[in-house]
Amino acid sequence: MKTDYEIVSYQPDFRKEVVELQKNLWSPDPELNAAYLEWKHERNPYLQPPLLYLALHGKKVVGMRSMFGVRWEFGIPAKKMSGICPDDLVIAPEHRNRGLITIMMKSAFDDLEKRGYPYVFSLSAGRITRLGSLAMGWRSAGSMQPQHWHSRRAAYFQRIRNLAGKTRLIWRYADKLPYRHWGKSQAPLHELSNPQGMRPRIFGSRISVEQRVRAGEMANLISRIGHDGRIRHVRDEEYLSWRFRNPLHRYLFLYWEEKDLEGYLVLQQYVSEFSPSRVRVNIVDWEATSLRVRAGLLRAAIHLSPFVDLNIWTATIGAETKNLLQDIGFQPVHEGAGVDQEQPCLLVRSVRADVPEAEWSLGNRRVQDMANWDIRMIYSMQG
Amino acid sequence: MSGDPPIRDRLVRLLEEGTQDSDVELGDDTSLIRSGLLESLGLFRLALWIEKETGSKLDLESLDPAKEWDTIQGILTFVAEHREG
Repeated sequence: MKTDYEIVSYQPDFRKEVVELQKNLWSPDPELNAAYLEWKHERNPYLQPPLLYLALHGKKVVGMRSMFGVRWEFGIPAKKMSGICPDDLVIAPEHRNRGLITIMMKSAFDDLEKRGYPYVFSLSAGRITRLGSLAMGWRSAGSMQPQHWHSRRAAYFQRIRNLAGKTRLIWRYADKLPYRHWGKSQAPLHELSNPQGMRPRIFGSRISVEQRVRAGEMANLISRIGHDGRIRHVRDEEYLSWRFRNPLHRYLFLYWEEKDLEGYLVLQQYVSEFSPSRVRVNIVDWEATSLRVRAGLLRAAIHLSPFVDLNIWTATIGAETKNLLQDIGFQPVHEGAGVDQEQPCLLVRSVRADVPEAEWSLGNRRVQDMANWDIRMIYSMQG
Repeated sequence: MSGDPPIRDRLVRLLEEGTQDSDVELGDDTSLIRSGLLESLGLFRLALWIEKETGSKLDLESLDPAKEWDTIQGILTFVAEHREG
């Protein structure tokens, strides 16, 4: 194994090189990468200065493993704890398969232990990183059980277009059919925003669709709804204000208002050319004071646009909400078993290698047990 | 099939491809994972190979590659124990 690498902490002097290296992961656009680095790490409310481990070969940055700061809460009354999520593992192509990931992670875990972090959590690993993580002592708490909803209208017009494209004489007109771009890319979410509110005849006057995050009102709503003690992110005003500024994503907010905010639903889509999907829109957070409000928000989201692929993680949501999703037509994303499948999952690891797995817990809640978590897609950088 | 090389030879060939930048000679007890010799794509290809050889999909929630696949002998034992039928 080659050992001619030096692991160092990120300093602003490395910024340009990191942005360049991230053309392998975040996006091919250096300006977008710079904006993402600034948002995710330099403006992270929980971890300053940024915690990025860089691998140098000579004086060149050839690898990076970043950690972003989070704040967990768990138990009743809620105990709060700062934590970190490893993310953004990237190695320059010419330095892959040389043991560099192991070197970087060993260095990172040594440092994290000194800093006093007990555990690391990951909700964003792709299939290769997931397997590599398992090999480094991480454990999977299970799948996020994604479900998706497809517009029947979109599917119908896609079939018509496909048929027309294969039919003699009329194939040349297939590209002139309405909705011809469906299946290739989703229209930008921001185009669905309507400052005047949605069509009253369908949605009533209580739901508004906005590009603006109402962080204070949302945090207040979350606080009013309360907490069942499962492990979750602290979603306070500071967190929400920061979280929805991710420059690699677009967000759209549906709000249900009465005297106060009674519910919200956040839609998200990807901006980067490296994104997992050009058509997928995710429901990344969803809160409501009642099932009626919850259902109203979901129905409004469905009617906003003929989404080709609307996704949500369901691993930790309640039975009532699962039934609601089923009634509306959400179905489990087919997740085949095995290493080749992209399955969003929760990975956990004790920072110290000598802590037995049976003792991995926050409060009295075992972290490898999905039943102890309340997970939204915004906890992950997929959302 | 009778024309196929033995499983150990197939495994060694796969591992040699995944560790081609290393000077380490692969023996039955060479540490592959804990040493960092095999990671990322090489490890992923090994996992796919194991699934093919066993004829079954890996259960990621109980998998501990560093313990079960750290050596050639460990991998061969894992395949033998998980082979379908």
